Amino acid sequence: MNGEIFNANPTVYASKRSTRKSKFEAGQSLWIDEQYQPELSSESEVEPIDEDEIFDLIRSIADPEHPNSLEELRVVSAEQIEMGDNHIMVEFTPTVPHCGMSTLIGLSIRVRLMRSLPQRFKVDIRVKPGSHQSELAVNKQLNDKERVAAALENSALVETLEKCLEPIGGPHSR
Amino acid sequence: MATAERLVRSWMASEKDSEVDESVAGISSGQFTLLDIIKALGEFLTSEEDRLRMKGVEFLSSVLGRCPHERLNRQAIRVLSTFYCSKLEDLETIIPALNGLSYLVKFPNIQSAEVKDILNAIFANVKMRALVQSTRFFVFSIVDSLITSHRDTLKEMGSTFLAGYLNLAVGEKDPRNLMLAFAIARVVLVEFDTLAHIEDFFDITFCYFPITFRPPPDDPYGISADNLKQSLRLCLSATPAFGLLGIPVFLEKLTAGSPSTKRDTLHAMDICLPVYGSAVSREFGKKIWSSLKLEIFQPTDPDTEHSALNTLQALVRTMHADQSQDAVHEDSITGLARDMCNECMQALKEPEKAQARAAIKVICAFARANGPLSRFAVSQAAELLIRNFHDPDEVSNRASVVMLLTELIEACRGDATHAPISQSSHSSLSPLTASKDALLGLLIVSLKTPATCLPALHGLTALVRTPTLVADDELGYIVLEVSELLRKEPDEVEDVTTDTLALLSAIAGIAPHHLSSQMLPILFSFLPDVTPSRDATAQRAFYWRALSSLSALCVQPQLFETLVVRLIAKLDLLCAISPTRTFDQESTTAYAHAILTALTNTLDVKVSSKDVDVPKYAELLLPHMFRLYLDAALASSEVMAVAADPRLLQVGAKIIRLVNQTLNVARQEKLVAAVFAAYTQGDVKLITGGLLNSSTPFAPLYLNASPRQRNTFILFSSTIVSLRKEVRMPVDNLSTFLSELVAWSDNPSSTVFQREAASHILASNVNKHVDDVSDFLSSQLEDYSSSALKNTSMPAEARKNAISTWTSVTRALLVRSHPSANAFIDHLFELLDDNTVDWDAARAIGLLASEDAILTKRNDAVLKILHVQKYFNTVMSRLLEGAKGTKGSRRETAYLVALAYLINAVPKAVYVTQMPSLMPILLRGLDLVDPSIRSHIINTLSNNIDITSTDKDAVSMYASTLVLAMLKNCTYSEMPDPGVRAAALKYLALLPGTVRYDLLHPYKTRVLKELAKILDDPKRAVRKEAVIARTNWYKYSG
Amino acid sequence: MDVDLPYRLELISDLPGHDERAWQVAWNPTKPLLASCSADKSVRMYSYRPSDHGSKSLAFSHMGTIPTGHTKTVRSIAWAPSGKTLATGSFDSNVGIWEREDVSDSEDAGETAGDWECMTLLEGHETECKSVGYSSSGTLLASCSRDKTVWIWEVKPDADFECMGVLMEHSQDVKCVAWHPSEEILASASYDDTIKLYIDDPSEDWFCFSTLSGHKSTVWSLSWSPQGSYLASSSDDLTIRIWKRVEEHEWKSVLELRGHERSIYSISWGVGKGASENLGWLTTTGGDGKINVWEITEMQHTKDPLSATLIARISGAHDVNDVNSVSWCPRLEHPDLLATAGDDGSVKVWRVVPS
Repeated sequence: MNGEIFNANPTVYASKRSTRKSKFEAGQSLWIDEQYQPELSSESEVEPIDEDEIFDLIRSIADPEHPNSLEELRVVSAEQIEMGDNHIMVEFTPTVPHCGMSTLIGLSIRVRLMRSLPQRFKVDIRVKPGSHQSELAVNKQLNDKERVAAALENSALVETLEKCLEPIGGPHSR
Repeated sequence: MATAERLVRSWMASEKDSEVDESVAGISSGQFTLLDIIKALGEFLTSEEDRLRMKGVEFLSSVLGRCPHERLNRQAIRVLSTFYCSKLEDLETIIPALNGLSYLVKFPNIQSAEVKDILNAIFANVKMRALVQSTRFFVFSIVDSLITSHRDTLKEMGSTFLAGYLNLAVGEKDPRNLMLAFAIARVVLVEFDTLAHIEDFFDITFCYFPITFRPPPDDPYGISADNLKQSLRLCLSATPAFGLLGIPVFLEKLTAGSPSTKRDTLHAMDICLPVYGSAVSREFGKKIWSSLKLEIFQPTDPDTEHSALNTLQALVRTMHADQSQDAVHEDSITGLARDMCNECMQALKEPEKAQARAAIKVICAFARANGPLSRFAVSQAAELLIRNFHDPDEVSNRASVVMLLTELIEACRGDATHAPISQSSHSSLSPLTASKDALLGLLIVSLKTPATCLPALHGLTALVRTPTLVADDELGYIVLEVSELLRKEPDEVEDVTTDTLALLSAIAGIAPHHLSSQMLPILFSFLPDVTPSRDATAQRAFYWRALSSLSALCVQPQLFETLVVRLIAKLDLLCAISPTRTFDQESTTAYAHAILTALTNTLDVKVSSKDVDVPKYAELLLPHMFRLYLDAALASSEVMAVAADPRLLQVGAKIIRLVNQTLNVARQEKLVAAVFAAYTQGDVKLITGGLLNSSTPFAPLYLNASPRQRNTFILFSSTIVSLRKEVRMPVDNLSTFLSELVAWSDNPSSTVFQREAASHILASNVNKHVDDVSDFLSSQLEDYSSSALKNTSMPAEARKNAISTWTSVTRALLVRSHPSANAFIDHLFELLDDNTVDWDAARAIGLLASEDAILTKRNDAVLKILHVQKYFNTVMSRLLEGAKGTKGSRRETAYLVALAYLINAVPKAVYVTQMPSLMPILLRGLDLVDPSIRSHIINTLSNNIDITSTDKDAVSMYASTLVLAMLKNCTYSEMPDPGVRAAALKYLALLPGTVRYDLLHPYKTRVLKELAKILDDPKRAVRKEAVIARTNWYKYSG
Repeated sequence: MDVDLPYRLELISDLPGHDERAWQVAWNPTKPLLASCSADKSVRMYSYRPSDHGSKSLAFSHMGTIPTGHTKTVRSIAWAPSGKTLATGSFDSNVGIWEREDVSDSEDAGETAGDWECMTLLEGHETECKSVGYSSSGTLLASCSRDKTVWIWEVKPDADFECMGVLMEHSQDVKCVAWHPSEEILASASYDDTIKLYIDDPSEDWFCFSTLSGHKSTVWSLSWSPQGSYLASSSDDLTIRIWKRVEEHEWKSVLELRGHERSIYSISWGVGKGASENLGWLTTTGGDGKINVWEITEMQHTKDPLSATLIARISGAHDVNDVNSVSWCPRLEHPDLLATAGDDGSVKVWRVVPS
């Protein structure tokens, strides 16, 4: 990555804990003790992919120029994910309107989702309206599949990407 | 004399070591002296032939090396030293001569005159660069010995010695020699007057910094880089005189170096700065600060950042080292320190920014440095942050402010590594004392808004934990405010319960009365007397929150007592026998279960931390328990008796076990007597503390006893299994008793629940009183084995039960490595060919190796170390043997099952060596239908992936099988059990990290394709694993 | 599939095989050959013949794979009119020219023929080459790239090529090039939302004589009507536009069609099978996995000179995957045959049949 730093002193927020309810809390069982809980959990029950799960995928992506996760910098948030059936819209917010890293961040989100979501999902990624000076250009690039494909054949770029994608799953820990 | 000559000649001819020994013997026995040897050597020592001269000296030296010290008088030593010194001039003899000297200098009565001669001779004649490492080693060890035993002489020599030694030491490269050189340099620098030569010493020490040496794989001397680093550091920090020269070197390494060099440098500075002193530290302070700043404000990696902070601490400590500790007034703060603070204060003005976090770390470092600076910096930072908190424009940043303050409080509190400020010499007061009230107020306010609540809790916890800072009434105030949080509905804010409890428990430790007066009443009031209805999820979650809060807070004796009393009262209400079905039994049972669980959890904590107040609950708690349960057991099956529910009995049993574990022999005997009175004679008075009087007889042991009575057997059992070995069972004949038990549990009417309880008693007694039950054991082996275990005319179910009874007896013997265990195991093996129960027998064989829940230290079981290994080794070989040549047969399956369970039950170390021979068998096992076996095998493979992968052939041999098998096992359509799917994916995820790319790359595309489908698995947990696996395979490349 | 339409798409053959996303399909104009290219850097060849049972149906078989040796995705392929030469455009920025050793002119281009050889590698583009195309005479080859340029090469004997011009008209990547079916007119479509038309000025060099604006986003694909009086374009703005030649050198947008929910990656205009007075069949596909087939008819005395009727449609043509390319079979005996390539790496052949 080149020496230029677009935002030397970004705002850092606390990363929320993942808040999935236990069966007991969710009211699916009277018993705190799993061993007595109804077995519907195991085979039959389907747990559909939801916004939370998608957020869990991208929250831990590392920012290209800071030792923080995209969540900590509020670049991504659960609220900025929209799901239709087999369609996902992820919106992200660059820390500064002139951030030259935006395309890279968007790309890393796309790659993480490309690798982690079933084919059936069509994914659109865009910067939060009004949050970037060249919003349209960034969006157009991120959603041009030919451009993305070519980018992923550029080894130098892929190396940087892999760095951003390092911590997989789980909330980002410092 | 003659002998000396003979020895010399024959050695010169043969060079046999025996000659040396003989000579030494001669000298020790006084037959001749070392001088005689020299005389005898005469002709050779003066010979024209180089070889002869060398061999001569060599012989002398080897003799000297083994010669007893008292055998050489001063005069002899003088002769020898002059002799050797002269030999130093001769290139042919210099090596053996130095060798000889290295021995000679160790002799006690060598005089300072000789010492000087020797050194001067060495300085004059020895050209280190011309010598090999081993010879140079002689030189260093000579100097080393002299430093130890003749330091003063060397000091007298002054410059001659220093210059001479410097000349020897310069340019040394060999690590073994350097270890000596560093040791020497350290002493010299500390004790000698080196001022005149300081630069040269600087050169022969700092030139090695930083150490980059990597020891060769088979290094005979086993010198590690760390050995060198440490002893070098001792040199660098040996004298203040290095200060002016050294710090620039450090600074240069800091700017240039790699992360590891940086850390190395920082560590060196930590030790050196205090030695170099405040003057120098001040002089370079600015430069040091600016390079440390870089590591802290633009951290490359956490380790370096952390080291930098430590060094910063060392710096400020040193800078103010010379100031009298009580000079706390601000004017004692140097300009630099001020600047440092000011820079941090600037950063702190934007508390939400990344730089602020770095800044507070710096301030905390100052705080821990305990100088006058610490109070200055802390109070400045505190004031600034507090001001910022109250600034209306900054409200949005309050969370960050609180977080920063918390870090500050933590720092001032001090921790394991740093003595708390409050105990430090210069003041008994924390530097926060001044701003304490402000802090407290601010934190309390922060509790009220969701955004700042969590950080505030952490802040308060840190504050409370600071010794002597918070007054008792203030603690009460905190409890009052915090209690509000537990009133709130859980989902109102991000759940902060755990953090709230952490804070309250901290207070409970210091001031329990505040909790019992303010907190507990509220929490108890959250426990409804009537069970919430089935659909009242919220209330249920709410009472459980209250319960878990209570159980977390009531560990302290006084509070625990209250907890017990209140909860028992609650239970009595819930479990009251009711003739009519007026309420929902299931949810009431669940509620009661929750209460008991809470009680158990607290009790568990107290028992593990060996709290002394537990035993008294044998009287305060157990009778209530028994009354509760027996009452229900005696109730007729028509009426509703919540406490008769096995799930409640389970928890109750645990409570009894926990309390009983803490009792001494006498009290245990009392308890067990009472229990037996109840269970064998039906006299329940004792055990229920007279609380129970029922007309219905209590006789659970009768075969026709009601199910409810039989179920209470678990209480009986849990009392017995937790007895100490010393406690005798109150029965005339233990064997008979056990046999009756077996009969009782084999009774067709008995349930799994009841049989388990019985088998626990069996196991516990066989294990603790094996000598009293020999009759029982033999009857098992002779009769039971044939009448039940192998009795094919019996229904399968009955036989399976027999197997589990059998297993518990076997394990009881096994864990104490009792010889008769083998006989029992043999019977199980015979069952592997039995079509009805082979699978069960196999599972049993495997599980025998697993941890037992009942035969534990806590339950005072007799446990022999390594019994698992012993068992494994014998059984494993048997199984491998048996599995041979049985491909695809039913028999093979049985053996596979046994293997799978066995390996899964033992720690890795036990079977590691067997892995190669196991691999093929395990792979076959992956096709078995039973999911639990598959997941066992997959786990085993995962645990050993490193072994299998280091062995290239093994992998390439199995690679395809493994990959394909795992892909199959992680596919929903192929494997309904999500556990197995997840396990298989975990394994796939491990492969790229452990197996060389060239071995697996042919599968990459396929694996990625297949995994793409798994990403749509119905189970979240499975998808999560799939994501990890797929990511790893994407990154997998040559 | 919508049943109320007069025709339906019948799957003739499903040809999996590429390890990664298939980008484009191309029918050989003279031989029963179908080629596809992919991100797996290979080109796959399929031959077809009337299947033994039922004269109407065809049997497709994989007859060979060219590893190509391109170091990155092969994005585009194009046959020379002779059917003897194949051009490949790759993200490695080069264009490869391929011929079969010992070519047999026999109609059956079957297994008898030998391997495909790279005759030349045309270097010149700075970044990914995204599309290649032969002029109707086969004497010219055009290629375009993310470097914003369009290159025109003259095809000389013995696989020798000479660059006739480098056209730097677009302000962004050039996504597609398409030659007029009879004249030497070249069209190019771009990420800059425009289409540009070029001709060769005998005295001067190649130059852009017209820029067609109207699309609101990237123009992905172009196709000329069989007679060449119309040009169709498909775009990321989810519209299809048809441009009519109103003067020798003037083209006007005359029709805008909608029918896709995501980017329309590919468009192809064939003669079709309908009544002779119509202008043939237009097919489109894209990120929504749909294939649409429209019948285009010229209207007399109405304000719109053209009308387009959706006559067939299929959704999920490649299951859940994007469809990247669609192409009518150019051979007269199969006017109702079309092929598609998708992200699933497979190529599918469809026939438009009355429903």
